Amino acid sequence: MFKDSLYKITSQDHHDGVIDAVLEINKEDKIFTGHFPGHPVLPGASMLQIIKEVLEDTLKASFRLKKADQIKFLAISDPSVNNLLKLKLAYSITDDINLDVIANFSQSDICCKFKGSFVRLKS
Amino acid sequence: MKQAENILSLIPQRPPFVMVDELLFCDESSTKTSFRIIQDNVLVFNGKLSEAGLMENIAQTAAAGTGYKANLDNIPVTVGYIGSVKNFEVFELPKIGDELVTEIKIENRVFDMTIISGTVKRNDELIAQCEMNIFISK
Repeated sequence: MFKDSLYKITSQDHHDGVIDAVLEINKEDKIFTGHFPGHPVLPGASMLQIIKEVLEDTLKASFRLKKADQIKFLAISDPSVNNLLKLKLAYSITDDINLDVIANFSQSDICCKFKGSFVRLKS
Repeated sequence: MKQAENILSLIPQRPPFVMVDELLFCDESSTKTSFRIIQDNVLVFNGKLSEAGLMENIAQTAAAGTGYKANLDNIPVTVGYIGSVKNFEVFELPKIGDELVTEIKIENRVFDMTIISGTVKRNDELIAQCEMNIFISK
């Protein structure tokens, strides 16, 4: 998990299928030494993992991404400039094991939009 | 072609955020890399490479191709960012010890944006695929 290494959740609210969370990115995390040297950028791929972890943590289940219809990265997130990231995630349970998710990450502006579906794994 | 120690001459990412091992093939329109999943990988969780790892592996395969061509032209390897990902399908998460072969095909280039399609396979079995727009910063 990236939670408590790459990021901490500083506040979280969950109701009616909507999760609002504020994340504090740890700019000293080891991934920033490689992405990129002297120029930290939160990897777009890590946002996908954060979505999965927040879902798993909130819904107390394990998920695998089945399909991301679209993920857009609209702005670069440099944790040495701003390490607070807001996540808004709306999910709808389509059947026993499938979950549709729309999420966005924002700082001053939206930096990532996600639309996709996850499948719940047997524990 | 290029082994692990010099894959770093092709991509701007550095350990621990390197998600390709070896360049297997590269021409004008396609690039192929290999990647072995190890325990120490920062995108391995619960013994499996995450969806994030698969996505980054496709992006870095494209980066390795761009870097290979930059080396041939004697120009510096530049940083690229994922602009968007479409129809990213994940069929399975590969385990520690698995060897992945990832191939990207360049579909189009529009200004600084390169549009690629990518597949990740393990022994010819499709693990993941997507379309991706990669923005090369100047």
